Amino acid sequence: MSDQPTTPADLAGARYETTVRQQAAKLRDELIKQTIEDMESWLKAAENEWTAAHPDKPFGSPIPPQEVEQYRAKVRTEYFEWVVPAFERYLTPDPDDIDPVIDSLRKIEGMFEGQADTAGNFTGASPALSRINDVRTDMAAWEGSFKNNFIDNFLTPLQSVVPNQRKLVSLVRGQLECNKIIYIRYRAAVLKLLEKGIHATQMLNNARDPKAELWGTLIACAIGTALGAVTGGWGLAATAVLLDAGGTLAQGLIPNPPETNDLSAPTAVEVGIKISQAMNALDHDTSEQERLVANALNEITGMLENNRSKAIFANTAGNFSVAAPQLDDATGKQITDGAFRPAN
Amino acid sequence: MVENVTGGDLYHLWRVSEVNLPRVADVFYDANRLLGGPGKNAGDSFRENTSIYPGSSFLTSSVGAAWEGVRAEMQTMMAQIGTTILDAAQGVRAATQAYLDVDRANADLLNVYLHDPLNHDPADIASNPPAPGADDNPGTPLPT
Repeated sequence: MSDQPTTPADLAGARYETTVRQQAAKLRDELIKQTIEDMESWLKAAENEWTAAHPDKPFGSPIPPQEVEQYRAKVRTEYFEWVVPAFERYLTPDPDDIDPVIDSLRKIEGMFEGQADTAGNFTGASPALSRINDVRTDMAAWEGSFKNNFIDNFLTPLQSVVPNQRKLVSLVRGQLECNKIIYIRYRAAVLKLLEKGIHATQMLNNARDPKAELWGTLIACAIGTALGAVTGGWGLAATAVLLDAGGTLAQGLIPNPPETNDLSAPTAVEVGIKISQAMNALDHDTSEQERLVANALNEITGMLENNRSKAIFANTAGNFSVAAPQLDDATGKQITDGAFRPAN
Repeated sequence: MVENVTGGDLYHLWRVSEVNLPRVADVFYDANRLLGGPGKNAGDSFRENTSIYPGSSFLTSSVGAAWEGVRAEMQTMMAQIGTTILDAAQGVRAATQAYLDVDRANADLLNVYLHDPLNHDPADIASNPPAPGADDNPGTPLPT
């Protein structure tokens, strides 16, 4: 299919973890700093207004300075304590943790590489599977109904099951790779959110007009359309939506999502609220993508169970299973009486 | 009928049941062991996105659950095929035995044939049954 999606270095392992923690702490500090400044400027405005409205009272603001200091401490210790834990949630999942699974599936695909040619020979990458041909050759020295049954119901179906298995494993791997890409994009969105959030807060500090700080969540994975033809014979539900890893990678590993969330606001508290709303949007979009992956995997499981249980129950060759040859249950007398005899 | 059987005929069956089919089965058992071993989900592979019951703060992953479903099914599938192949080998072995059991004259057909260096080289690994514990020995599949 395609190259394996590799997590970019800045989104992988300890480096990502450190960045998230540092940036989240920085965002918290900026929000606190800015809120105190907002508070001070609001306090100054209130004092001005109050002094103007009460020219007869000489001592200014009705809020005593000690009380203001208390509120300031409250902003420092309580207002934005949610920021760091909220972003620590994004430390998992690790996209690379799925790698051993994807590698195992790739290994199986490698083992099952190959197919039966028109002459009925199995040509494949695995020397062990090529021994299916040797079995056929050795069995040619024998004849009788048990031999025919052995070839037609067991050996030949075995050859055609192998490419099916390989296709199946590759389909499943594609879904898992899409899931990995989703998590890579998820991490990229987190870092972007932190960066833009810090920026939106700092902008207030510079006392310029707040400009829009736009942020987007993540791009949806490509839906596989070309898979229908292959999987038709398997009886996969017509409504099944499978994801296409190759097509998803073709979008670029981390494409720029449409930026629809504006993080800028007149005060730091409001910026904080917008950041938390953006986190919700990210969670929602990620869950939506995960739902597609889970559904695709469930569809594949259902299809597989259906194929296998029917074929195994009837002891016939199926898309993903082979039947036991009659020879398994033959008595010695049946065999030596001629149903399975040397061909000469 | 029975008199027609030669050591060479039985040797063909012996190759099928002892040398070739176990090695074919091993490929499927290997796949089974990959799916049940390193192919299993490890660590933080999946995001925990679903409450185990409405309102619960304990979360599980919907993708993880779906993957476990398809993984377990594929693991059983590989074991089933491998086992069917070994069963077929057993059927062929029983057929060989049926001919050896016919009478005393037949009993040694295969042994004599196998011990003639012109017919069979017991030191050639690829032409002999896979050794116990060797890479190409099917061993046992992992239960799901």
